[in-house]
Amino acid sequence: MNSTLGYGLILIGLLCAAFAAIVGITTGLMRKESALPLVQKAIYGFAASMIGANLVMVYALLTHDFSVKYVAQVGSRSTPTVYTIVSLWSALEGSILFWGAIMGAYIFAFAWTYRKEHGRYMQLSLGVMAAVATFFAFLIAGPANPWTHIPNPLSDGPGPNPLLQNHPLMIIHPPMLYLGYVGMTIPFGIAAGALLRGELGDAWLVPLRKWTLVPWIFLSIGIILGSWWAYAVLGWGGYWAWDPVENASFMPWLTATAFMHSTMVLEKKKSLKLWTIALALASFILTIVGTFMTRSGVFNSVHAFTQSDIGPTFLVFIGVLLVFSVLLLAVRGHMLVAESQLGSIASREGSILLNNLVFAAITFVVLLGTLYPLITEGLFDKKITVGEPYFNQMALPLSVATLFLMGVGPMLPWGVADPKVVQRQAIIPGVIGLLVVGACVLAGFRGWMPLTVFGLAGFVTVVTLRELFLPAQQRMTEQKEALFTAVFVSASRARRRFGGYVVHLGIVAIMVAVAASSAYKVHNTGSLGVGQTMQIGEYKVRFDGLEKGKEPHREWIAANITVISPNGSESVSHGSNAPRMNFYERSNDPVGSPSVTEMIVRDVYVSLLSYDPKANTASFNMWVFPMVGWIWYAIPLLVLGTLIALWPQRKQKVTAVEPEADAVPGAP
Amino acid sequence: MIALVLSLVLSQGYAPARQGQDPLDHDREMRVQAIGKQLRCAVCQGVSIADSPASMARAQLDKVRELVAEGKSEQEIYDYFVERYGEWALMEPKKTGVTLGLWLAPVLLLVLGVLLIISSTKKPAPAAPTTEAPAAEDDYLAKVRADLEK
Repeated sequence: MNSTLGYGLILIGLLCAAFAAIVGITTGLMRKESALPLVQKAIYGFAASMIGANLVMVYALLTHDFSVKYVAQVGSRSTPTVYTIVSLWSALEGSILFWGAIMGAYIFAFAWTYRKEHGRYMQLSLGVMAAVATFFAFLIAGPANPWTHIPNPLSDGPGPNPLLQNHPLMIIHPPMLYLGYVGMTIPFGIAAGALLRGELGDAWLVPLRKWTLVPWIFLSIGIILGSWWAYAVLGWGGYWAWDPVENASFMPWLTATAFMHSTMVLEKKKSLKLWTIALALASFILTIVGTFMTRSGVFNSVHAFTQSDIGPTFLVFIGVLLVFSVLLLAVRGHMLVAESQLGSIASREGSILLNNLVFAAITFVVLLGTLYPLITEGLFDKKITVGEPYFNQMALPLSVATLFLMGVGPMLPWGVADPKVVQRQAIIPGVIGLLVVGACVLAGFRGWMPLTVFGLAGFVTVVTLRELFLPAQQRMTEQKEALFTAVFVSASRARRRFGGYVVHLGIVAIMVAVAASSAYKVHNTGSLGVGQTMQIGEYKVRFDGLEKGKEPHREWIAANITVISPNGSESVSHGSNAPRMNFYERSNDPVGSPSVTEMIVRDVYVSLLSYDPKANTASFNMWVFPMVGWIWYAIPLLVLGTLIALWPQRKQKVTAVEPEADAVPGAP
Repeated sequence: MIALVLSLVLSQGYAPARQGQDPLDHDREMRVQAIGKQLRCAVCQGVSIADSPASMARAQLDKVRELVAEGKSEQEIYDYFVERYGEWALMEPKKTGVTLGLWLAPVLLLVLGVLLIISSTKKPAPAAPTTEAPAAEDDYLAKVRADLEK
């Protein structure tokens, strides 16, 4: 019953998407705008049937209908309800089904928002989005079909992958990432629509920018939550391993970030059109490449939980996308000509060009490093590993360069800079940056890399705060406004600018956290008997004995510990807070979970390596990570900045106000 | 096979004699961890043996500890692992032959990119001075301008 209903809905979705794609693109190319309502209705049909199909699957999961193949694969009566719902995306078929629902929601939201606007591009863009949707509906209907009916179902199933039900972060990390990945379909459609139409007007830039920012923030949250999850669950004492799957999510983030910057040049200078459009196309293609890397099992990693045959299908799709994009750029590119000359390299646009180059270089390094083992093995029959040391070596200096540009860029005016003005502006931030370095050296911190990051962070923070509050200050003196009003008004007059700088502050926090936690971590490992302590840095960890526990879906053994800080205060981690080994019915290997004692400036991180109930001993891996939490604490700043930038202007202003957003007093 | 046995032993819950070997003295343990960072865990993907909680990786890290305790140099220890598991065991490939592309290609991209940016932006014209060393380019003009501004 559920099988039939769910599969039926998928087929309807497939038909709607295919119809919207064909009609949208053909009538769009023929410039018959009268066909738009037809395309819109098909899009709505696709969205409704995809969301409906997901609801059917959730219902099947909740009612433990093991006659549906996917439920039989991941369902279990002992799994808590929350994780039963989450198991919708805990394995390949379900995650692609869920992908379909998000795709439906996105395309619907886009089509609905602009249902009466942008007629000249809309059919083409919706058509391209629908073509992507057709591919995913086809995947769900064919190679990754979760609905197969099982005639004689068992009465219980194995439950979802234990790693995925080990931590509540698993409930939100995948949807965030999917919202990021799938959302890139929208800017892809917008950009491809502009190319197919052969023009890119100012008005069409607004949705392009906004609808890149939406998946960008979800991607940011998804990546950070993923690293938090790895840190809090996997127990190896790190948050980022340059795993192919992490790289897969990082690459579209990089190109989308570059896009967000180059779009400013496009707006201001009517230049870089082709490059900006190419970045929008690339961001989407990289999400598909990333999905392929994650889902096909080309690289085996924690995430490639399947050996399904969707790999070849995806490879064909990537090929089609590449050919389509390159052809479009080649055939239509000449129509998107620059309308003005760029200023010198020491100008706002110069710094943005450099920013784009650095982001492109990081993307290239990540792509190259991820694919190189495949290349050498395929072409030269040579098995190599390209791991963390390579990526750190190449990507870290480039990241430091972005930090530098984050400080210099906002100080430079558009067009041509007056060296004297720039120098005068650079003095205060520069001096503060140096003071930060000096203070860090005095406090005993060494190493040129972290000190460079701290110094630049101080520099960027001052520049950014000045850019944020200078307009407010001017209002306070000229209009005699109160501080709060002045900040609020100046922010709402230049939302994108204000929001962008808030995001910059978040990124600075992340970079400082990354530098401090990797340069100044302290590590210790060893075995302890009950009552014995081990020293890590200034902290002591005491082993208080083993404890057993049982939950409906797992049993665990915890090594109870107490963390003793330098001033003697004790923080107890017993039972479910202690470093543990979890035993799931489905898996023979225990899954460890570390204990993290979080403090604002540092974490004490203890993971259990092994234990001996007879001798009552346990061996541990322990770390002290300075400031690591700031990576995740920065999420609210990123979200706040994005929301400020996205907050809609009043309707009548929509088209006129956007370009002026940057021209608020403040930038001299 | 070893991994399987070890993981079975682990899940049974007692620590075998070799499991979780005690760390060496601080300096040598730091070396063990640094070397471990450069060696790939064979049963996991893309994680070093210093980072992996897998029992196989723990055993390999113990091997590193043993070799460090014997006074072997870093190179000797890497060679030991490369000999047994191939170059694949290194987290970062040797910079020879085809793998050179890993380092050269991004540098090439950066150089080409910088050249492209320089050629597509305005040259620092006399009337439009920039921070890019206007003085070195034209001493005389700079002087004139300075005089004019007085």
